[in-house]
Amino acid sequence: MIIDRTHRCWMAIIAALAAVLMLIYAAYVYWNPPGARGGSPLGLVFGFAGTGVILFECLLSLRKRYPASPLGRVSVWLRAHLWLGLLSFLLILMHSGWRFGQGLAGLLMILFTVILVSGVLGVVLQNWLPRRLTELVKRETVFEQIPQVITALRLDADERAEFLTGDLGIGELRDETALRAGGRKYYFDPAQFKSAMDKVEAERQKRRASPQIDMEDASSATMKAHYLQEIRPYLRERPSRLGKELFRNPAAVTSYFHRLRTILPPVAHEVLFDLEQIVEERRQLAIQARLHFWLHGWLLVHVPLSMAFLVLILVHAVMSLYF
Amino acid sequence: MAKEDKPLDYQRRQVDTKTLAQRLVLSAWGGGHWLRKRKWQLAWLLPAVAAVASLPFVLGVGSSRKAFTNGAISRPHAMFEGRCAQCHTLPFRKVADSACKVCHDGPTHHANAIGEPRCAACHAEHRGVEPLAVGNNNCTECHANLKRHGKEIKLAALNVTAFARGKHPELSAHSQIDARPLKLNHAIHMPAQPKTIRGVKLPMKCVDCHSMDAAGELVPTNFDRHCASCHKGELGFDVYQVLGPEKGTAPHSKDMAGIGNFIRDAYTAALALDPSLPHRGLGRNVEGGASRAVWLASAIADSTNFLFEKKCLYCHETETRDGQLAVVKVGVLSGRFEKGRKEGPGWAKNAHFRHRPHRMVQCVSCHTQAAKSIATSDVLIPKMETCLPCHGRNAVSIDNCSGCHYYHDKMKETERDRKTVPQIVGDTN
Amino acid sequence: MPPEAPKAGAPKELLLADLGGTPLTAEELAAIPGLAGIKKDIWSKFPGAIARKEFRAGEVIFRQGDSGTTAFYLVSGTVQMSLARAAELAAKPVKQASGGWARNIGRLGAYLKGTPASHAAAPLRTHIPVDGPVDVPIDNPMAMLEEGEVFGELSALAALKQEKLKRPKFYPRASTAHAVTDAVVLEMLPNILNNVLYNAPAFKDKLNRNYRDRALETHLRSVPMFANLSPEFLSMLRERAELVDVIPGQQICGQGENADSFYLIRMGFVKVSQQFPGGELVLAYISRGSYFGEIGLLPPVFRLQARNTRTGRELRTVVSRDPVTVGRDPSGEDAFRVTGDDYISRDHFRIHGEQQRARVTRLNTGKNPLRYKDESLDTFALSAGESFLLGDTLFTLLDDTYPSGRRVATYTAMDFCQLVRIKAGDFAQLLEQYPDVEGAIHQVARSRRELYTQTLNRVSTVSLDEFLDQELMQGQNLLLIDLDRCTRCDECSKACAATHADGVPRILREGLRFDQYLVPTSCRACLDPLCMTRCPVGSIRRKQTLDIVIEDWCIGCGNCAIDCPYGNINVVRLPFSTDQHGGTARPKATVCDLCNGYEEPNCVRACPHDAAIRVDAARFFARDLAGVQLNVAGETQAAPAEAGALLQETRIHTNIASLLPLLPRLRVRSGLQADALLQLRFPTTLLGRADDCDYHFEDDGISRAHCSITAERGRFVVRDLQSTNGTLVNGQPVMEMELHNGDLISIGEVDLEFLTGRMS
Repeated sequence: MIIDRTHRCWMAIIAALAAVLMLIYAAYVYWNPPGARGGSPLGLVFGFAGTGVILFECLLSLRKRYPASPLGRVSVWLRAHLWLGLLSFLLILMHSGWRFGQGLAGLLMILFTVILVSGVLGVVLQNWLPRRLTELVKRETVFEQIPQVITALRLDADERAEFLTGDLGIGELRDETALRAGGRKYYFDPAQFKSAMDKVEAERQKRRASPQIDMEDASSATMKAHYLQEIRPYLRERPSRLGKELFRNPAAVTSYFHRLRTILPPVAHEVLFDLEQIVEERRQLAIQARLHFWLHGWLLVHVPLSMAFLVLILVHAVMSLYF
Repeated sequence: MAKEDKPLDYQRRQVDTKTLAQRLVLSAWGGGHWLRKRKWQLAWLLPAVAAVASLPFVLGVGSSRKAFTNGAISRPHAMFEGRCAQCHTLPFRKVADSACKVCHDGPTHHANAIGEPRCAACHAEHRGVEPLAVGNNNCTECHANLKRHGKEIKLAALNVTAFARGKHPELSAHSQIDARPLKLNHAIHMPAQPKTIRGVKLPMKCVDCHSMDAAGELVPTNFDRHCASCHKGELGFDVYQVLGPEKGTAPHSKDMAGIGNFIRDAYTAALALDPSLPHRGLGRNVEGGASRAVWLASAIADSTNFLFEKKCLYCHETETRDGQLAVVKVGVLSGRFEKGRKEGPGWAKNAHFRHRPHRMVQCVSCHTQAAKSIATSDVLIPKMETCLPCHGRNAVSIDNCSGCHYYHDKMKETERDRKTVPQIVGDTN
Repeated sequence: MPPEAPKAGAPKELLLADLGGTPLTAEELAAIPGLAGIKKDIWSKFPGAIARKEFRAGEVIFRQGDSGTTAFYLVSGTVQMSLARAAELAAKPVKQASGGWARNIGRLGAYLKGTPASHAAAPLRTHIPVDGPVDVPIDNPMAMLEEGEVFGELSALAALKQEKLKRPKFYPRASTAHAVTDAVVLEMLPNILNNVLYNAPAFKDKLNRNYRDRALETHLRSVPMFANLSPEFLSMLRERAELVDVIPGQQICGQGENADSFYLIRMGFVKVSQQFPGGELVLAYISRGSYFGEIGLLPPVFRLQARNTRTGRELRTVVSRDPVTVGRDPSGEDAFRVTGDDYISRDHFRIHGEQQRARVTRLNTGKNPLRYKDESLDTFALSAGESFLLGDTLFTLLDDTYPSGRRVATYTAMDFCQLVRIKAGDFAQLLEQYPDVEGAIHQVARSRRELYTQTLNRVSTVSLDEFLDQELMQGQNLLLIDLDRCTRCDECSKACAATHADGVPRILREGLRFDQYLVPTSCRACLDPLCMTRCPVGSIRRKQTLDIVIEDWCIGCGNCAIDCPYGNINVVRLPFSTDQHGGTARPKATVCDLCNGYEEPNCVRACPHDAAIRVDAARFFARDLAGVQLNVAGETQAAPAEAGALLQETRIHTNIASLLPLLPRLRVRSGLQADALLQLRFPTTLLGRADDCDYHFEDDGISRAHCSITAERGRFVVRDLQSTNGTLVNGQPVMEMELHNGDLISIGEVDLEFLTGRMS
């Protein structure tokens, strides 16, 4: 969620609410010097209000589950989540009389602080990382599908390299039975499927039988060595260390392939340009995976702790009211 | 054999929306990535752990429930820590007075107090290890505006909000008169110019008369302890100087008959020791050579009269009680004088003052009028002004109502039946 | 070629299109008189593609704004075509779920989760863009149709007329049809209509004639500007006007050609561009309901230049048919203030355009005489290029930037366009008879001139190449994801999967980028939906709104998935799809239905970061698109390697990197900056030593403002700005000279090579 001018209204409302709350609290402290705390009437009010807000905060994930709900757009919910979340911390601080407390109450305060800090961190990351991702990763894909995309890139590269080298001795085949997106023809009829596969297989056989792009044997062998030892290991799901070093940044990728182009004849250059693109995409996907982790990793703390926090709030509320 | 046709055309890599989408596997959809999976696993696991972990606490295994207190329990109640039900007798209710009254008695301060608050309304527990302090707000809640609580209340101070000018009434003691039937003159004991009278150097120090006990509290002034060293002579009854200063001094006692007996015994003993005494006569009343009986009777009668009618009146007043002359009872020299009572109430009607905490302060800095007081009736308790430099809202020191005032009337407190520990906290194993 | 025959392997009954009504056999069809002359085997090829339907008097056959895919042939009875009033469409009751949901917790839950309104209750569109606003006050029927006529698919027919095109296209219904008497109609799928048209020329001609009359009438009435035209004039226009169909890429008229007519766009998307050396500058895109060609038909717009002969100070203003008051401190809205000359009174004279010249009239308040051709005149007509003197100030009338009577720009169809062409004579007559129309058109022309000038002065950061390559202008409801906001949480996909009972997401967050937006794989609701053309069973169709739905009788042949150029349709095996032929799983095509029945598309609704938006692509990007765009035929897909090499060479903003090889520029040939490339500014690039020059050089041999290079009507001209040391081209000192590729310009010690860009 980018914090921009459209958040002004929320900021103003929350600031006003916070000011009003502080005034109420100040008035209360003036008349009752020890101030509001858990058990005092106003403290209880703050506690209930804070709990209400926290409950609302947790409803966000439920709201996300039902996208079509008439209860407002998710983006509005997220804004509310963000700003009311900040307010709820103030409410809880007032509930506790600005003490961290001990026992369960202390634990709750620590948990809440961690949750708040992780949330704020999340907002900060969400303001920064998407731009970074857009800038660094030109060819990103769906995060969950990165393994599939890497596989596709690898098989594509194999196919292209075989044009130069002939049989690479790789047994990996594309899973033609997988249902692919993008309106790819999918043969529901087994007979049709078989004939289509035969066609693909025939092409593959031909490609493997001999290099389809005519080159000297020495060049072909060079290409094969480079491909199998340096390029292909990098296109694995867990890239090789050598590959990571060779293709550490765009300039390295460019210079690597530039070097290859100088030692291989011009007929191979088209393939090399394509391989360069593939390697560059693979390199960007690694960045995407890393940035994605940072972009969403904070949720590993934020969400589970919030859930646990909710349970403990319940215990705290019941037991505090019980006694 | 493969057909010898022309080689396959090399197709350049093409990037458009469709080919990009075709890399994605639709059947692998919705599986979620480890990040998302782990998030939701944790989102179930952590609350479950929290719930399970809090179960023993909720059920109250051992003294685990102390985790739910929102503050340390006070020292006197430390033995109840973890035994929540000891005080919290009713679920979802506030702590009832009955729970406190198991051990404590807390009679209210005045009979016409409007409403009787719960014990815990003032004595909030779980506020730290110090004994349950009472905040001013507990008092000012009513005393700030007593009118609001009942129009019939007739108190001088209807709006007490703090110990400060205008917010707290003037201390009442100094406006009263000390009616004690005793003659005392502070000024004579503490003259501005030093001098020596009867071998005693004046001025005296305060502590010469107002001494403190081992606990540092003021001891009521007492003739034997404080006055006798100088004023022993005031008990000398030997009007004819027969007995000498040693034997001619009566004890300081309320027992008039006893003193009479002491005088008689003193002369009888002296006569037995020196039978020639009657020869010397006794002033103008008894000629020398009077009979022993006459001499004795006269000596006793004259001495007694001398003592009771002259000497005692140096300090005391006398009255005729049951047809006999008697010294008006003074009682213990502390607090107000009430006729017929040995020890009257303290000077402050609704408050108490302890000297010990003020022992670093010079007496005269509060009791400023002491050196000038020439009458017993002067009450030397200072005005509120005197307290304000140290106490009150603007000062650094204590501003607690409970610093001076008691809520509970200890006088009404009844003796408790002492209990054993197991009786109070239950079996402790 | 006729549409592909159904696959042999599939069971035959599945292939029946479910149009409802009674399917007709080939024999029955052949017996219908209007369809005579059509080979029988065509009918048998498409069983079920024609259905016979009966409507009772007063029954509605289709409504205005419905997106229909079928055409109707009226067998008997009378059908009334009418334009609905806006109120009627707006007042369509949106059915609320019956009351009492509060009583039922389950219903409350369903409500909170957000269940779609039933499809029947989905609100109709209130506004149909195709034929302009619907507030044409028409209570009376537009047309009464008698038997033997085809109606319904006006727009589809228009596209079918394009001979080069082998497939029909679909637009919303232009009107409402309802039966006046009991009527029997044949409803036919477009593929059969296609065949009917190609096999029965007489029938086709008749249809064309009918169509022309009907379409023109509808369109002329819907143009707001023509609202006040009298019915007589309108019918005159209808008679004289011509319907023109153009195919994508076809040039409607070229810049500089004779302006002979005025065009109204009935449908389609037209690019307005000007030719410049090095390429083409796109000025604007205009679409349905708009018009063009008026600038060339209107009198020229002059510029009046006031030059103080003593100080050399120059001022300019625009002179059109509205008089402009000129003076030292003139009053009024259209005023031209010329200061610094005491001979000029407060309000001195007026000037206004008068056909091909401008008339100058001295006002009473203007004291000093106007000297024109050595005569003091109070009023005179001034031709372009002529000047007159007032005090110390020389007023010169400059010619219009656009030559009068010529096309100011090139108009190219981006799409299948249908235009209404009004000839110049008729247009002039129109303006003469209706001053308010004239005023309105002048207003538009003026604002367009301003817009074009602004556009010319702006350098765009968005490449139109890319926009066109990605065919984004197809997107009527294009899903875009703002990548600066998107956290890649995939809530859009999840929401989509949750919305559809089958759990298959219709949006994949994968695709190409455009500017800062990702265009994900999701239905674009194309203007021209290719996916609908080959469905053998007619199950893919457009509903009332833009959404494309695939009905339940889809056989999963995958034609639509293959046809969709953007990969937005997927055929999946759905275990849960209801199947009247047994409960087994079967393939079905899935496509984004724009969350038909929901408040808004749930992908947008579910986006927590306001990153996902749905837009009409052309409108959304219109501002960005109207900028520099240079396209050279056949060279748009530059080899990536070369683009990469250039990128390193020039280090210029990446967005325009792909344009660089196409742009004219200067290469520095000497000194420290040797081999640097200097991009030429548009329209003028200033070179010199001063800081405010476009390119400045630290060289004492170069004057502050040394020379300029200007783009002027298809050529680049270098002008020496009276520099101390002069400007040399190929070693020869020049004052003004047209540049050619490879010319060497020398200023001071700097040598610059002029490159025209990849134009030659």
